[in-house]
Amino acid sequence: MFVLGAHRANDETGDAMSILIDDIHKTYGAQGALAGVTLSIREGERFGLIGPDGAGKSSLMRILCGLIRADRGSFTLCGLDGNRDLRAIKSSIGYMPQRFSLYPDLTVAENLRFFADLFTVPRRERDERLERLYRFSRLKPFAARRAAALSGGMKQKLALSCALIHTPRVLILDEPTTGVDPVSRREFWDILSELSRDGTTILVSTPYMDEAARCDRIAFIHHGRLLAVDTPAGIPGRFPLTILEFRGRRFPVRHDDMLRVRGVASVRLLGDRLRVACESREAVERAVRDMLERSGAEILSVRTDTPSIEDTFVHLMHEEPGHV
Amino acid sequence: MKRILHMIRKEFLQIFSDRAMLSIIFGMPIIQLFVLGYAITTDVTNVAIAIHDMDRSQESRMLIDRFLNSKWFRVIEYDSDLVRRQAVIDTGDALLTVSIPEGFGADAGNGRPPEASLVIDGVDSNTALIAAGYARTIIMRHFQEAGSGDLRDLVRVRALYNPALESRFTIVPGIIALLMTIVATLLTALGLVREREIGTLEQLNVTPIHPLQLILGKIIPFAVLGAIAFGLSMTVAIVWFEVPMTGSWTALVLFTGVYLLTALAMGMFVSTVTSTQQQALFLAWFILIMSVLMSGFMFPISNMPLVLQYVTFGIPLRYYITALREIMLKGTEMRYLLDQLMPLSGICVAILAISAGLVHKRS
Repeated sequence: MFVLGAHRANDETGDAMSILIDDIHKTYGAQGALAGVTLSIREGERFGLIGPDGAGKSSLMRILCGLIRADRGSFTLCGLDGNRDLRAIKSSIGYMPQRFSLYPDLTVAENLRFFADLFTVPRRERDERLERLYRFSRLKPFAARRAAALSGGMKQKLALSCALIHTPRVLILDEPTTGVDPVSRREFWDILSELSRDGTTILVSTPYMDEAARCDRIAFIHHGRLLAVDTPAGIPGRFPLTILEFRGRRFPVRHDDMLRVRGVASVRLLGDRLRVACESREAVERAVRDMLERSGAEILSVRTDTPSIEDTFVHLMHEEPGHV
Repeated sequence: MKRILHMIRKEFLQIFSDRAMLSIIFGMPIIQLFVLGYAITTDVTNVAIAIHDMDRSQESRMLIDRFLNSKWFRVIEYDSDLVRRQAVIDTGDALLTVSIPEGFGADAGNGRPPEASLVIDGVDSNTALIAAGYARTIIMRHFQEAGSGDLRDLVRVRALYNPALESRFTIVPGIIALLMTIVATLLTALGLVREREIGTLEQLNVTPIHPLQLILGKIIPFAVLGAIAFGLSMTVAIVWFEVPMTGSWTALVLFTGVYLLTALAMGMFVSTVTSTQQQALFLAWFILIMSVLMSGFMFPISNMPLVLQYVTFGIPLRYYITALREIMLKGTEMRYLLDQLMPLSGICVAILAISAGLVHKRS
């Protein structure tokens, strides 16, 4: 195991809170981006933010990084006050925005060195860390290559390395693996697991449910509100739902009428599978089957399934007041 | 402080990693200086003229010889009557005709004021008037040296500081000022906007770097490039174009420093009100063109409508070009240039304050 963070040695109080967010509000124009978010994240925790585009994930992260100011509410990060100690906070976090934003015309080594310099990492320490970062990212053979010439996965790893060069206690990653190939994604998450084991707190947003499953806890965020916060395994259990999965062909794309069937909570079409969230199989199977066959669909098989994170998420979005 | 140096180091790494950009930055000023130094000239040479000599005396031959030997004129036609006078102008074969009337030589001999008339093609009025001026000079010199006519009537014109009225002496300092504007304003604007465009500005904002360190780190490299461009173009101006440098280098450097800062501040201003490199490029060009046209570089400010003359007081290039010409050609002392330095410094501070405010607001 590579010791990248090594904060645990300094702080043995296992359950110490790393990020405390208290009732944060942020409005852009008429639309509310964050409508009162309260959350606490433990030290060394991998915390996932999941939600549709525009739900407020990026806004929350940008507030924590000091890039934008909250209209209301407060937060502390590593015990530092978000309204007062922003500059100190900036030294203790590493941030990776959604868009790859390093210097494409500088080489891998030059990019890393520049960010090390900005965080005033001492020279000897810098070289040691560079070696470690090169080892885990396997970027060493590409040290002299321009960042623009790297593949998507390598770019993400370089961005992560730059965000890690000053060994931040908190890592904030905004959809770090979007557009990255599956193998690189898995490697990337292996690195994150190692970092959190060493005590680095990680707040990460992701559109991928398999990545959400690798977090210690996840939060659903929708319309600027947290809908549920729990472990990936605990989330589906919190809602008494059964999933009825129809497999077949020519399923209708719109299913508004199915939602009118009593007992159907939400419907999701995934290629050749139609997943219906309901209270019980008996109550809805007949009605939904009739409806599908009337619309010309061909049903090959039906089975019940336990709800996945995504099913729960879709269900929560439907449940939320104000959602049509 | 250290962070500024790191920013500067990074900036130079980026500049030097782009070979094409590097050759543009350093090649462009020199090429422009050479090309423009020759192309933008108000000197008139090789003007096609026609001479109609109805006198055909010794006196008229002597006058004609003077035209033939002049570098300003090229005699394309010589005739002894006026039939074709209108035609050569109409066809554009000649820009100017000189007509020597019958009795020209006799008049000169008996002391009466002799007459010769000039007809010019007024389509290109600038060139025509300059050519006519040259022709008049030749005719006057002829009378003067021949001792004929009343010398008291003759006006002698002597150009101070630029005896031969070489237009490159006035043009080249202007071009130097222009190049400084291009390097400092344009490159600064593009450099800052690029960071915003590719998202690295946000990345910098999550590091502990102070906005002031960021700005200084961004503009100092371009100030250095501007200074290098200045040095290069001054060398070309003095060594190649032989523009005299009669004044004090201290004054020249002082003005250049203040102007460079102003140009950098303008670049910063452009970068704060735009969000893409394309927008920045357009805005910087607009400012550049306005500066050139309104600075008195090519068109005399005194010819402009009064309202626009007031506008020129807000153009920093105006003061810098004036100062460059005064210092280089005339050797004007600093104390006589305070009326240029004061407004230039004022504008500089104003633009700096505005752009610093805007930068603060946006970050």
